[in-house]
Amino acid sequence: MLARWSWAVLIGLGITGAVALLAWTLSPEHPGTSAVVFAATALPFGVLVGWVVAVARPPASTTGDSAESAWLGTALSGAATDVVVAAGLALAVVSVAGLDLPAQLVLLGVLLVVLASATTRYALARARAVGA
Amino acid sequence: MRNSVRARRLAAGWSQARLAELLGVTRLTVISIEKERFDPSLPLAFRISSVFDAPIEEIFDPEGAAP
Repeated sequence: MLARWSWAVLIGLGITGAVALLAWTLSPEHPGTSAVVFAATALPFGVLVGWVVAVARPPASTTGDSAESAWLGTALSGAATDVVVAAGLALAVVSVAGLDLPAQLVLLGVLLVVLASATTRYALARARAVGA
Repeated sequence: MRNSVRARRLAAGWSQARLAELLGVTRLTVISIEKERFDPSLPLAFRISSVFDAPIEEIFDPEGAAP
């Protein structure tokens, strides 16, 4: 566990250092101050990424063993199909109607379809497996 | 795939939570296996076999499995 936490800290410091270096390189004014500010901002996120990668990961021997991971895989693959279908239908409607939608709205729509589809499919798979 | 996990667990006097703890999986996974709605991976099947001290082919029966 100590080794994992050491890796988490190292990854966090590495990400923080990379962000600071980038800020120092690209900042047109006060590169030193920019590097310090960006480093301070990036540090918690860097440590969080390190924790996710090094500490929170499940043991390799149990990866894919759970029913939950099977339900999630089924839900995500079904959601991918739903997105393709929804995108095709939406494209047909937009083309016929001659609408000009902003990209932000389109991306939000795609995101909502994925979330709704994956959540519903996961809940259905869970209910089928656990229910009577 | 048919299996005798539930019968063996009850014979051992374990709860689903206890078996899940022994196998290193969630209770939902144990429930799904007992209801024969989830076929365990090969490593998990070996752990089940080890926990019940019985060969895999005695615990799992391919009868009724998809071809």
